[in-house]
Amino acid sequence: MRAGEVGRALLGLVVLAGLLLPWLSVAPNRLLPGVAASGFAAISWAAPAALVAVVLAVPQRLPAWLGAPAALAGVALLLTATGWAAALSLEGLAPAARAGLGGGFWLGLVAGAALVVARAAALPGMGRAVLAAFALLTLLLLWQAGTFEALSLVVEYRAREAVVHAALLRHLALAGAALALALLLAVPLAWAGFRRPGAAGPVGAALGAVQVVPAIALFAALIPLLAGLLALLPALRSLGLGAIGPAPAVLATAGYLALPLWRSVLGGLTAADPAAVAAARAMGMTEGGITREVRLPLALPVFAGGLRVAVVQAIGLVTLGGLVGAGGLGALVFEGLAQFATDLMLLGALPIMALALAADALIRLLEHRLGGSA
Amino acid sequence: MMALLLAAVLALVALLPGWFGGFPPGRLLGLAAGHAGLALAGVVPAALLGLALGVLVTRPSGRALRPAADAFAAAAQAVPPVVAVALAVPAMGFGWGPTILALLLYGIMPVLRATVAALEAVPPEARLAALALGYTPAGALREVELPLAWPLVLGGLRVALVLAVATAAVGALAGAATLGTPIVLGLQNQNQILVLQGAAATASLAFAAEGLLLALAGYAAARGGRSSASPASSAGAAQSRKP
Amino acid sequence: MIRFENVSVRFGTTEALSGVNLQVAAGVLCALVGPSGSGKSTLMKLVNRLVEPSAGRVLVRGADVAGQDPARLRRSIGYVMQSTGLFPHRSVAANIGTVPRLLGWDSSRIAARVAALLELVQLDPALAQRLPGALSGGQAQRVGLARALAADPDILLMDEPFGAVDPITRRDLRAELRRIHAETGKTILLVTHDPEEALELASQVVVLRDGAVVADGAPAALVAEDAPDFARTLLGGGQPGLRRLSLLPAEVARDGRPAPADAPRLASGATLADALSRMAESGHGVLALGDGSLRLEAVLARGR
Repeated sequence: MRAGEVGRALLGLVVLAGLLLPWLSVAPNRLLPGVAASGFAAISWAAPAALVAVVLAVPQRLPAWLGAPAALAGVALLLTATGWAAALSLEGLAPAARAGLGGGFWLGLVAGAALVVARAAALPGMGRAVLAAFALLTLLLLWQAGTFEALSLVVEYRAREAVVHAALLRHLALAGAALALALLLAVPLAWAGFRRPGAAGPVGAALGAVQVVPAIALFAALIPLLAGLLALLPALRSLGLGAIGPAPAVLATAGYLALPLWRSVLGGLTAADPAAVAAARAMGMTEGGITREVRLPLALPVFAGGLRVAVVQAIGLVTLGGLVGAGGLGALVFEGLAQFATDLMLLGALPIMALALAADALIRLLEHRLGGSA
Repeated sequence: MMALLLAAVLALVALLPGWFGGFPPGRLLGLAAGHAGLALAGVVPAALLGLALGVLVTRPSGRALRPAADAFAAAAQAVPPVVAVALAVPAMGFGWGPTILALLLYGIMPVLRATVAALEAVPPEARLAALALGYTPAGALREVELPLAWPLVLGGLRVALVLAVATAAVGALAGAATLGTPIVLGLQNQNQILVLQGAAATASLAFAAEGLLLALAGYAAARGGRSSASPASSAGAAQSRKP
Repeated sequence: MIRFENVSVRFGTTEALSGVNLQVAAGVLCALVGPSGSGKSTLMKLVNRLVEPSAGRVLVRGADVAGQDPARLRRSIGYVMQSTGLFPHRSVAANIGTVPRLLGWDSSRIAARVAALLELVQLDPALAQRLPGALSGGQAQRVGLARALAADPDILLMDEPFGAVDPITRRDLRAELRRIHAETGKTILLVTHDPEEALELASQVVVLRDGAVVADGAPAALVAEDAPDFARTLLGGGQPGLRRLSLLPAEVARDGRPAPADAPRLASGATLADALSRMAESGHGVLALGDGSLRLEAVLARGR
């Protein structure tokens, strides 16, 4: 048995474990704990059927073009059956009753999806694209058909649709603003460090020191610090700066993003082989020409790597903005934590994870392109 | 030494207001001890696990697990610790549980990455020579590969410990009594002194952890006669993520 | 001492060695030559099981290596590599003492052995506590050789040992190896891509091409007219006649007739190539050698 097979078999076992754990629970309302049922009890015949389909992705002997779609079908069956089971379990109950997803569901879902991805890795690029498109289409169709409407998470979403959308946009705006601010800081500093290498050391040490400060401390400390600053210079208030709100969130996040950005810009600029630069100079290229034609093409893939780290960090860090009144998806998470409302917490947390993973994958793709052409 | 100096200054900032009606220094020190203990309790098993995993996926027999480990590390990096803590609450309830889970998760990654990078940076000819001279694979790992990888692994440990201090602070949101507690209390009650004290104390602890590990790396490098610790330490910091 | 019986090695779908038969007697310095990718390094690594055969047997000291514990087998065979493979975190002395330590020698015996080896490879004892990073290329290579010799193995494997040092150091190291081989009488398997090195050092030369042995014999025989074309071209360096003359002592072409009085005298121990050069620079077709003479026609006859 190969190691890849062992890994996939373990994932299959995790799916089984998920089905044995609390899968779906029915509660009288959104805050009270419910009565939980295991996967086998909650979705009856669909559980073994989905398990068999998912496990088809384990053996190496079964071709990937068969195993990966089978596992995908298994995951889709889990989702569909869970949606129907939720609707069924709420029949005849008061409208406030909720059918919540248990830990077993999430465990099974993540392990099943990981199994699909692991088996699809053996497919050619085209096959993976078709499978991904098919997975998205299936999910969309199930959503459109109202399969998940009875699930507590979706009920919570429907109740707060506008709030969630606004928080999502707010989250992106905060992350974007922090990224822009960090770029404004990092790029000139990196250029200066490239021109005068002596300056790079202290800048690196200062930006590195920011990284050591725990984010929650920096976010929080900016409130009294900004309050002090505003007391000294009330004019700043007319510029829209406040001690509470987006200002501390954007400032603190930008502080953390500056290091990876600065380092990747500097690293990219110095990535060019000194011999290649000397040759370009010897051929009569101007400094501007060398930067444009030799340094930048070599710098872009390195910079894309730093940008990826920064973007993923920005999406994660802005979450703490919810603590300092900046809003965003983090506000939903903390509101959920305060009320012990799991669904509300998930409404904030799931989009954050999805955004971060999507940004990571997208920029990775970009890096690949740049790396390939350079 | 800069880090230890900063830690001392920040500790003063955190403690001083206590005598003028702020959060009492005694309680703050108690929380700091709990905070440090929690971070260590999380980071030690996580580091051992990360080290073991890193060794496993760089062995010929475990090489096939490497893509899975990379994917796991990348996915976990994309989830901010604060979200991990929050997601663990429904499963484990308020208290220490969610924080310990997040500490374990976030302690493994930097050590795993550093171990893999460090073992891959071991000159292949040194490994080949070890085998050719008659070391068993385990002997080559123990006597040649790990000693050569150690400075880089130490860099990963430092990142893991600093990250653990930060994650433990976030744990206050899920009900763990740490230095994050005065921050959360201060934010809820609009008490800016409390916020400042908590923030300074947390940062002080993080700088102390950083400074101690840097000193340890410097000591190890001096004993080994090499100075390979510094590139390692800067390489790790870019990967760190704050909750 | 070492025997390959019908050995094939396959890496995935590529065949690195196919059906190799070869015997190396005790005390012989055998050079494996061939272009890169010819399988010479793979052939050598079969001896200490760094590579496993996919078919056939490898016998060392009369026993099939397949049945022996790899670690124990390797401790009994010295190994020198091009990039030295010195452990950068250990001092020169600790590097040299690696195998004795693995064999469980006590520390005073190891220290004595290290001192003796430093002397054998002519290294300053003051270098013993340095780290390998502080050594020059030639010094590092000598440490590598001392490390391989540490437990006094009867077999030494050398994988392009002088490939990464400058020409002058290389010449010194070759002389060193010749001396050590003469002093210790070890069986040495030397992989090299340098034909000159093979011809100069080895008493047996094996030419490999595309994973097969194309020639196996004494150096001079492999550049003779009847040698396989590939070996002759590879080893001859474009001047196989001259190469061959340089490998033969002048004595073999001496005839008993005394030389004319004005003939220049050839030093004893000179090769036929030296004789030809002497003739070219002096303009004489006859040289005095010992109490006889050496004639141009006789020299040329040996070049084929």
